[in-house]
Amino acid sequence: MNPVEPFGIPLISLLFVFFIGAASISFLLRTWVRLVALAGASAAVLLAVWIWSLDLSLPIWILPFGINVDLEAPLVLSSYSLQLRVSNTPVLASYLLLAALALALNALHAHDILFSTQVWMLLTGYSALTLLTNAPAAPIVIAPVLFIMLTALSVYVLHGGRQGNLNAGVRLLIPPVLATPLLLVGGWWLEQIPLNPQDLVFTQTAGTLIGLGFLVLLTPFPLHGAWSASSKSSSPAAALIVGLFYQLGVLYLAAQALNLYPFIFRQTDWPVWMSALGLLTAIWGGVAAMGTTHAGRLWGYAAIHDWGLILLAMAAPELRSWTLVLFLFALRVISMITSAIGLIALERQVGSLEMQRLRGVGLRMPWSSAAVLLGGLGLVGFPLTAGFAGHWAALQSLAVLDWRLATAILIAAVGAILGFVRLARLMFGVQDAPLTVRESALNIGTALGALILTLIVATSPQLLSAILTRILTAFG
Amino acid sequence: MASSSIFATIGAWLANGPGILFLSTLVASLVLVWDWRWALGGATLVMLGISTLSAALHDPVPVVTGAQWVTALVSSLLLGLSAYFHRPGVIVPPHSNWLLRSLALGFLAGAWWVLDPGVALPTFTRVETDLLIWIGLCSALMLGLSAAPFYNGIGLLLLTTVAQNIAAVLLPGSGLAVLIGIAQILLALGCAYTVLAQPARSSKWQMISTSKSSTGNREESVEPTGPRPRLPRLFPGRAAQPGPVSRIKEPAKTLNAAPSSTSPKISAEEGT
Repeated sequence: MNPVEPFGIPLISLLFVFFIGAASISFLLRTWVRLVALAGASAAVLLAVWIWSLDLSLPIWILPFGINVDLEAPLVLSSYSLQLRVSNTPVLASYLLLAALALALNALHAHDILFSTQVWMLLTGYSALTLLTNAPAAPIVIAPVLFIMLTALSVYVLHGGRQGNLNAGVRLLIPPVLATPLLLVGGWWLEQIPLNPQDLVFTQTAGTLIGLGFLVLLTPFPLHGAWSASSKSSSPAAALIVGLFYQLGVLYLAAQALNLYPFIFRQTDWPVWMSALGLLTAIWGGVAAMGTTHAGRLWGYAAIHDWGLILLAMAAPELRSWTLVLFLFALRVISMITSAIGLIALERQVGSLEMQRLRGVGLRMPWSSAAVLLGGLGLVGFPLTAGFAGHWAALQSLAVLDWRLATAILIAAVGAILGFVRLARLMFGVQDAPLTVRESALNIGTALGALILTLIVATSPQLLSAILTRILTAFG
Repeated sequence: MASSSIFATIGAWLANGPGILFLSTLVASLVLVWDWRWALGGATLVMLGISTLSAALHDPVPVVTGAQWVTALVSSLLLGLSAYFHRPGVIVPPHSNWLLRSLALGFLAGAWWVLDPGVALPTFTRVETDLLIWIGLCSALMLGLSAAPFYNGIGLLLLTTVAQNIAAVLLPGSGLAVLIGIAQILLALGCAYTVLAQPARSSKWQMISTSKSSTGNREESVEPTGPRPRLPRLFPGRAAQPGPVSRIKEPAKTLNAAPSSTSPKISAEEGT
């Protein structure tokens, strides 16, 4: 497919030079937080659009002054090969878009001077993970090691110069560290399969170990704890970007593993384990959301409920559908960003996201409060929110299989909705002492934009179909 | 080859029954003793011991064992320096006492002994596999028993050492052992950073007063005057009783505080 020697400069090298350059410039100019974040967001959006529309059927660009750029030439570092392919460009563009959104949030609220640098570094790492096509061992075996590195970097993003107990970042390292030995031994069994392809023991052992490794990497219940904790202790923007980057990466790798090694699904009990844990995750997210007293944690638990449904859609026999998984994930991104916009504004004005401190804040900051509620309710599939269409589709499919499972998820969703109802009652309740907080025009505009986007997606989810169809090529 | 023989020679000291038993006991002692100095030194010894044991038994490329030593020493140094410079980050009240920790460890060892899942790593001997799994279990226990970043860091480092050892033996030409070494250093850096970022507080009482005063509310700016809140006891039902003086005075106060008009009524009710 590709020439042995690249015909010109590999585009992928230029891409990584750009990422590292952007991280360096963001660090050097870190005192101009908003400007750097805004410029970074603009660059990331432009790059995302450009990568999305890249035509890899014409792999050579002939530029003036005799310079050529090879789009598909691999970047080889110590026999680890990174390459742009039709199958991974949509994921790369998605990462860029997520990074742009995170940088835009930092441009709005300037919550951490190093955030832009850290986002660019995370983007570099996750891009490498996505573009890794060839290595001395199977890329899915190497992936958890890269996840350890990237999660170790996420510790700084989640800390963000805050005070208090910020151990959630360290605890996020547990799933990739636990998954690494499982995938390494699974990788060894994979290498043995060609020696005796007829022997089912090889495929079953490899499938079980790789399946277990991905099960741990996907952080279902009870490995979910660090996500909800980081939603409480970290800035919503940091929790948002760290969570979405990690989850998109794991979903992409799980799709690669399941497509390359179908025996994981066919010859092991992985679908049953994953479905059971996905169900427990969804139920626990809803139940825990009901009793929490922190708006950030409530957001985190609602996201865990949503993640449980995604896991179920990915693994449950008869329900397994990457289209549904991607649809749910796209709606998750929209809902989480809408909530994050509101939460950041509230936190900056009030100083905390403890529910008691938010009493009456909805009367002073109605748009940001509405963004928190509508985004959060979207994560549990409340009608007229972004997440409704996805949750409804998943629940209908699940009910056909077993109505009891659908009912259990529905009851858990009601629990999370009750949590948001409690938050709404506090936010829009009367405050004894008058609040001095006020909503700036910029906050109103951003929250309004997010709310309009949420309502558009809620009423016309088919608008996402073209994007999802393209991304589906990466997920098989 | 000379360096390989050095590692293999050191490893030969451990590649026998007492050596394996020493490493197993050392790992268990990290959970039982629960002191940051012991944890740091012990974890470093375990990391070095595992790599040398592997060098003696599997003879990997010397560079790989050298890389394992370097990463073990660098990551331990990073965690140790953070603990040294920010003592409040490591001296935190443990989430369990020695009795619970030894019970948990005993239960873990007993369950493993009785159930005997028969896990066998390819190309590893049974004893080696058991040692690696024991290290993994003790690390998991360490992660489960504490939320302190220092102890989490020690647990995670031990777990990555197990993974690094597996990579060096099972996938020797992949360079994964070196890659895991880089990940280990990054992990240690992250944990060390979190240790340094821990708030400098010595007790729960100070934590409460600090967090309240930062809010700036009128009622929260009042200085605490009461006694320090006690941490929950191991056996709440056997809490120390108040002294004999208070035992006499308190009922007397209660009697004095009772309105005098109620006394005839009570007596009347008692009479009926």
